[in-house]
Amino acid sequence: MAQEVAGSRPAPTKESIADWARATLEPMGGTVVVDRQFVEVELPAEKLRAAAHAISESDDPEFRLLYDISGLHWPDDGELEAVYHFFGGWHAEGITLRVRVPEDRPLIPTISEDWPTANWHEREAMDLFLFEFEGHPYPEPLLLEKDMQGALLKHYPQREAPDMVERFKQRGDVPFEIWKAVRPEIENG
Amino acid sequence: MALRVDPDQPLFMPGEADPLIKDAPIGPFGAGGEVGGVFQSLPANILTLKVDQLFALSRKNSLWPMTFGIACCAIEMIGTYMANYDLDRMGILPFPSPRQADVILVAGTVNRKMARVVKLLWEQMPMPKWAIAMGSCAECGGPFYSYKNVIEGVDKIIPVDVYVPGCPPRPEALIDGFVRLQAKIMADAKAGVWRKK
Amino acid sequence: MAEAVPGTSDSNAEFMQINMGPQHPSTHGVCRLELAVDGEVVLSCRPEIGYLHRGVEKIAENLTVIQLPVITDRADYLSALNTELGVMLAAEQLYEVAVPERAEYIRVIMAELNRIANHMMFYGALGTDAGFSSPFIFGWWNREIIHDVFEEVTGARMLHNYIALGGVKQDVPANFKDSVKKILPQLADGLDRCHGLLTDNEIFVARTKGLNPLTPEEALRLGLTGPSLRATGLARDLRRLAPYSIYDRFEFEVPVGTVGDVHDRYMMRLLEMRESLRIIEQALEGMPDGEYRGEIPRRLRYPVGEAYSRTESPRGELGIYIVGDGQNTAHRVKIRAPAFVHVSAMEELLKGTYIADAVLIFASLDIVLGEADR
Repeated sequence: MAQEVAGSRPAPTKESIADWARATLEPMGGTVVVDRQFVEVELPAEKLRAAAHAISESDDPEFRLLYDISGLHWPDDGELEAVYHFFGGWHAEGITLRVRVPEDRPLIPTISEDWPTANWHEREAMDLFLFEFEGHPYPEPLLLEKDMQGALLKHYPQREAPDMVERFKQRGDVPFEIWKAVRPEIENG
Repeated sequence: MALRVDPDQPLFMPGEADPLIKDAPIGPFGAGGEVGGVFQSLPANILTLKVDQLFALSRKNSLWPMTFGIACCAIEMIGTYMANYDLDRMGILPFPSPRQADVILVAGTVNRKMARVVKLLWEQMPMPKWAIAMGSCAECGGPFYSYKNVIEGVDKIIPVDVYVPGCPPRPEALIDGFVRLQAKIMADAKAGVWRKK
Repeated sequence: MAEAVPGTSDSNAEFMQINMGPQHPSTHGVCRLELAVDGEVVLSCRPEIGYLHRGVEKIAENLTVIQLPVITDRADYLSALNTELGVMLAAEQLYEVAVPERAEYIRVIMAELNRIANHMMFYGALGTDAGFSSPFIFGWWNREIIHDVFEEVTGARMLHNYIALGGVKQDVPANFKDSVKKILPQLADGLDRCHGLLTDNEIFVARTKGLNPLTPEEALRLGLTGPSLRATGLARDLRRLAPYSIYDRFEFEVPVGTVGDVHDRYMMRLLEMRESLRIIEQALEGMPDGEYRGEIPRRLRYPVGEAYSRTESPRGELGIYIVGDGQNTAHRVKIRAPAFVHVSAMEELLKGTYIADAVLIFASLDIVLGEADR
């Protein structure tokens, strides 16, 4: 039996989500911002777990998909920001949570108990931005090795473009031919 | 140019994989010099040249690459095996196990985590073996050269015989690469590379 | 020697650890699955990725918006045009650029052709994992036909770098409508042959029917989206739910499954290919003449702000998040890859299955590691 998306209930609008957010998340210390693409709530880090729990428990509007946890590095402010995008399973609207933490103490509580998919998203954020998610069940590196973490921070070193002239000089002017033996001692000896 | 390896020592010491990635000697054609170096550890009393050519003939017409596609080049590699640009007509049959393969066809970007795997697979392959670096990532890091996690070319880990440029290379380019490898096998046999110095 | 089984409290069972390593005849990319098996039954699975982590997002912070598709193509290399479409939708939201009609139609045609090509690859890979040799060749023949069209239009068989800010990079050649019209019946015929080869095949049905059924709630909890979610019975398709580009003008059905098992996931993609053919036909009829690229500002600095675009890529729901801060290069480009979430779902999906079935389940989620690792 195919379930129609947004079946019997009318889909929530951005305003209704904003009202719900003001009612539920503002008492927790969040600030609701409406003039962006989705409804955004800026929270202090300690309140994140309760907010994520409220979002997962909410029935109308319902949010079922945690899309991603993006990290942002603002080197001028010395802060790291984590952006959580939640979208509905049965409708197309969403809500965004933003958490800012200082760069030298990037502690954020994990939300992987309410949202199982957050497990890997948080591991990736730990790899790329050196976040520390407190209470994470398996905080092992996912993408990078331990000594190479923090790849998306602005001060992470990158390689320069190779100097092509140097490269050619290194390889010598040996022609890339295969029709004759390229090592003279084989030919002569 | 001088040979860079000592004939009495094996070319790569297993177990030193990690320092070797950083400190591999870079010869003009890649780490450790040309493919002729891998034949150094063959015994001294080798056969005469004409039988070498016979062996080379049989080997080059039946190259079995290990199916080792890593990234986007793997899709073009698969396309070359398929009906439109058939590689089977040249005797090239992809085989998944490294123990029974002749050629390792590195198709895709090699990063530090993958480098250990590539090294392990290369060491598991029995000789004679060759390596083809397919695509610009396997030759020089490709468009990802600026990322520290990416190894600038698989020739920093294994000795490469043929480089097939492109991003990804067309199937015709890969076929050209195989043809060049076949010619190289024959030319090496004719030049007596198999004889120990 | 009996050791405790990971994930259970049964200390009497013995288990062996098997590594379905990055190089494996049937992995669809370099993903490593550490399985703990008891005989043939998988007890627990720990997927490990990172073997293809190339820093696509880091390099995208060095590129201008004109160069951006070059590197995001290489993330999901099997459906490059869909990724480009998603990236450019986000960039156009940020720059506030309008796209002319003709360009929208061209984009839709290319994206749907790419969807068919991707699903043909999925079909071949799933058939090979189920033990057959012909499906790959059948599927690839159809891909080659599409590659010829791509080469005429964009200049490359894969990794096209064609969809650009405000439209497409160059206009389609004069015989575009004819060449696409010529391949549509060829593709329909190829699709019928693919159906005939596997769908009712006894062995395939015995291997895939009833394997790993899911309910919509379970699938949403695991984060599955795209055809794997539609197979469970939830008619969720972003082209219908939150239409982007001009998808709301086309008539097409969204196929929905019943049980959510591997056979249903396979059928979803075959039926989706048919719907894509319908969309391409309608788009060809409706394609107007006109500009192929809209007005873009002369100095392409990223405006300060953010944009999030969601598209239905052949694999699932692709999210692109671009943050600009007034410079030539982006501050952050984040690709929300469906394959990343699907690989993490493998931990739960593989519990209690046989090893051979584990391979099939992995194939049925249509995972591309370039996207998962970025």
